[in-house]
This record gives sequence, C-alpha cells and structure tokens, in this order.
Amino acid sequence: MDAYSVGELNRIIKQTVEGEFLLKNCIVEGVISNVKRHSTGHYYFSLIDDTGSIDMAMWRSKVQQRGLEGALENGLLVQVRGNISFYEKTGRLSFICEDIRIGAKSDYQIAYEKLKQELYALGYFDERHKQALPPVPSCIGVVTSASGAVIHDILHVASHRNPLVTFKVFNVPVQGPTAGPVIARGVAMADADPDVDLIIVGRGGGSMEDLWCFNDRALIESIFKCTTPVVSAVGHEVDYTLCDFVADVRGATPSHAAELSIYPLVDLQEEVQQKLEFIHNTVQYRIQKEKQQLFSITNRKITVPAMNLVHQQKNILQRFEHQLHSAIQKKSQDESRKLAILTTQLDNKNPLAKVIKGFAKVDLNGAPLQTIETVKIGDTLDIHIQDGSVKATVQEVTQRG
Amino acid sequence: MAKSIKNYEKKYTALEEVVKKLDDESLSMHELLKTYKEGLTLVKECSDLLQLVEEEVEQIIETVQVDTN
Repeated sequence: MDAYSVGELNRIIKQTVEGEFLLKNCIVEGVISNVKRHSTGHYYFSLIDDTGSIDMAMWRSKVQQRGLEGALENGLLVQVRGNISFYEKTGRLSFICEDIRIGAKSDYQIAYEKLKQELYALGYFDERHKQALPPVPSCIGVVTSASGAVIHDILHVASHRNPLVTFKVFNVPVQGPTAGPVIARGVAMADADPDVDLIIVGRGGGSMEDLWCFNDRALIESIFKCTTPVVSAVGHEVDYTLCDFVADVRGATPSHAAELSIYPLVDLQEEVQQKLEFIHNTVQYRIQKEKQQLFSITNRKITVPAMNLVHQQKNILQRFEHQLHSAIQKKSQDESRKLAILTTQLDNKNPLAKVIKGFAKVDLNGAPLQTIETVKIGDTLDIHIQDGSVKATVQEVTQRG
Repeated sequence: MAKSIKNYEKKYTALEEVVKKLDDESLSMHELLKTYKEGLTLVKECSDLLQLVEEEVEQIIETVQVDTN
C-alpha cells in the first residue's frame, strides 16, 4: 500500500471532518479560557470543561454582528454554535464560532468576583496603600517556581538593563489547589529578608484554572501586609488576577515586570553624568562670575586710582622739568641781554670808534706805534681800522723828508 | 636697592627744593647750571621710579587677568 503524503492525509481528514453531518452547525457548552483578541479583531480562545478542551475562533465580522465585542472573558460559561474547521497547512483543528450565548457564570468566575468585591470593600486595592518602587533596587526577591520560565525572563531582562542587581529566588509551586498559601508564605519570607528591597511574584501564561492560585485569599493578604514593594507578574497581558490588583505595580508579563523594576544602568549612568556636568557647569559659572566681579572691583577701586596717582605725579614732574628748562633759558637770555648792553657800552668807549674811515691805529708789540725809529723790517704790525684789524709784516721803512 | 620706590618721596622733596631755588634771582649762572642739572637728574630718577610703578601695576593686572580666565 502506498504511503500518503502529509498533504493528501490532511485533505482526507478535512473532507471527513468537515463533511461529517454531526459536526455541522453544532452547539457546544463550556467555559471560555485563554481568550485573546488579535489586532485584526478576531477572537481566539479555548472552550473547556472537566472533560476536555478545544481551540475556538470567532471572526471579527461575527463578533460585531452578534454584539460580542468586549463581552468575551475568561471564566464565562457559554454555549457556542458553529462548525469544525480543519486547517491543512498546520494540521490543526478548530471550531469556528457563528454565535455565542453567554450563560451562567462559571464557579471560578463567581468565586473570583465575590472575593474581589469583598477585598475591594476592605480597601485591599486602594491607591493609598500603593508603595513606590525603589528607583534602583539592589536585591530583588522573586517568588515563583525555580523551574519555570519567569525567572529566566527576569534574569534575561536584568542582564541587559542592570547586571549589578542581585536576585533571591523563593521557590514555590505556581499551580494547583494548594499553591496559593505556599506562595503567600514565599512572599512573607521575601518581605522578611533584610536584603530584599523589591519583590516580584508571578508565573508564566496559562489558563484561568492554572492562574487560579494567584486569586488565593492567603496570598492577597500576604501581599497586602508586605512592607517591601511588590510587583505582580502573572500570565499574559490579558490575564488579570487579584494578585495584580493588590500588588503595588502590575507587570503585564514577567518580562514587563522586570522592566518596570529594573532601571537601565546606562540611563542611570547618563543621568549621573548629566547631574555631574550640571554641578560642574554651575560651579564653573559661579566662579567665573565671582572672578569677573573681583577683577572689575580691583580695576575700579585699585588699579585705576593707582594709575591715576602715577599719572598725576608724572604731570607734576613734567611741570618741574619745564620750570627747570625755562629757568635756565630765562637766566641765559637775561645774561645775554646784559652782555649785549655791556658790549654796546664798551663799543661806545672804544677808541677805534673815533677812528675816521680811511685812517688806522697801528700797534707794535701791543703798544701804539708812534715813530719809525722803533720799527724794523720783518716786524709784525697790528693795524686797527674802524671795522676790524689787520696783521702786516714790515717790508720797508722810509723816513719822511 | 637704589631704585627702590621707597626713595621716591625723598627725591621728590629734593626736586621741590630745587625748583623753589630757581625763584632765587640772585643765583649765579654757575649755581643755576648746577641746580638745573641737579633738577633734571632728579626728574629723570623720579620718572624712572614712576615707570617702575606703572610696569609693576600692569604686571599685577596681567596676573589678576590670568587668574580670572
């Protein structure tokens, strides 16, 4: 017998399943779980009961047509009408909903809402009880299953954001009817630990039943009593448990909870750097301002007056110098004038002044020459005439007559 | 230090005396020339001392400016 190809097998299954009369337009009853609204507007969820579970999809057009937008919630007991569809490419079978009738609430839903209302009335969820998360926690206590994905997700985020943060894991079961009180004790232990300055409590995604222990009253009370800030990290974004409401901060997922808890070291360093620069600039600016002020005061109060004094002194010295010059000039002019007067007076008494033009007074050896008897050839004579004197050598001596 | 600014007042007073002496009409030419030379020397010395003060002040200003920058 020839082997089918996978495609052939899937086509046969599809024809068989979708051709089956019993599965056409059938009605099935169960509780909605794991409901997800895709960004396209289609809804995907599981319908479960004690005996089993089946994947379901309801297209956006049907959701709108039936007015079910926002009405599909985990824990709702419903009757679904639709058809079985087999998707050949993945070999997956799902139930395509035509209509959903929301029936009575499931036991879980009823219990959840009752406890929520009671705790709300007691003030467990009040904003005034919320504590601020430490800006930079040094040790985070993680209350979860040591073998679960949560701790890995958190450590992964931490290694990127701040590898200096340390962790203490409080290992607890995170599923099952007895898990709630154990998680409550884990939270209390984490709160009592002096090293722990922030607590993350949570688990990965799952059905409402899986997450049920996070609605346990003992756990809610334990978280409420914590003096250490608590971040809840239960399931996926669409999942809400009472743990989310009582915690100081809700993380949509464990990774998100870690991001909310751990401030990135790079940002922190940058902030510290910026603050340092700000301080440095402020101080520098202040010092510059003071220096300029000091310089300006020094100039105005000291330098300029000092220089003025020096310049005043210089002016006085210049005046003195001028006085000295003019004194000596005046004196020398006075003397010159006196000398000139004396010269005139002398000139007036000069015998030569009486010498008539064309006549001369002749001296020999400083005495007036009065007779040729005293003169010899070669003697030097001084001949004074009205406007000067002449030196002459005797060449010839002749007696008159 | 002979060029010390401490000597300025002494020299300045001497210069004042010299200048006052110039008013004395009975001063002989010889005495006047001596006084004149003496006066000019004192003027030069006083000016040099003032120059020193000025330079020192400028140096101080520069130092202060360097500090404030």
